[in-house]
Amino acid sequence: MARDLTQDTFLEAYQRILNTQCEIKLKSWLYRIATNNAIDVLRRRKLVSWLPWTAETPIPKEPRNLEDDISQRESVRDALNRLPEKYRAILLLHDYQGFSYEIGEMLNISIDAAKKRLARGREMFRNVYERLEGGE
Amino acid sequence: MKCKDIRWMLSLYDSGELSLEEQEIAETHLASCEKCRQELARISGVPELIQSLHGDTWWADVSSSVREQINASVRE
Repeated sequence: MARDLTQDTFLEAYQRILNTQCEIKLKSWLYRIATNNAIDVLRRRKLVSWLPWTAETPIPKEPRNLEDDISQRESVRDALNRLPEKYRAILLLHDYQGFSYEIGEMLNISIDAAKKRLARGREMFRNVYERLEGGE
Repeated sequence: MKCKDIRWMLSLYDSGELSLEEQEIAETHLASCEKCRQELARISGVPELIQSLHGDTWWADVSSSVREQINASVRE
């Protein structure tokens, strides 16, 4: 899938660059196209996400009570949903999707600002999550 | 260095994402500040919690808002 996404990204970039008149920051521009393509693929995958176990499904490190597991995931989702958009975005791009500080370029902020926003986002997440787990 | 100056570093220290220089500053402060050590323990593990959503369809529901955030920041 990564190879397909790379191919799509460069194809789209090539098609768009022919039509642009303005100067662009090539690296962040490519990241943006790649991110949009990846998000499209993830959204399409939702259509088949109900499919059961596959060989690629990771094995949990330790057995957990299913009820606790579901409850924890609900709290994580709720906590993320309650964060301001800019903090939710950086947590999802970095902690969920695994982008490194190139997220700074995606979000048009410096690396230093990206690190501080990430740190603040995690702190806010933890505060909200604790309140939810505490039975708010 | 005061607590408020290094507080932002704690979660990145926990996930090993500080520069060497920042890491030294954080460690020097943590060695002498019980309050920040407690805060470090409290806020640790956030990336793991968020990663627990892998395989969850929720991501697809928020992806458009994240994409809009990226596009908006580029327009700024």
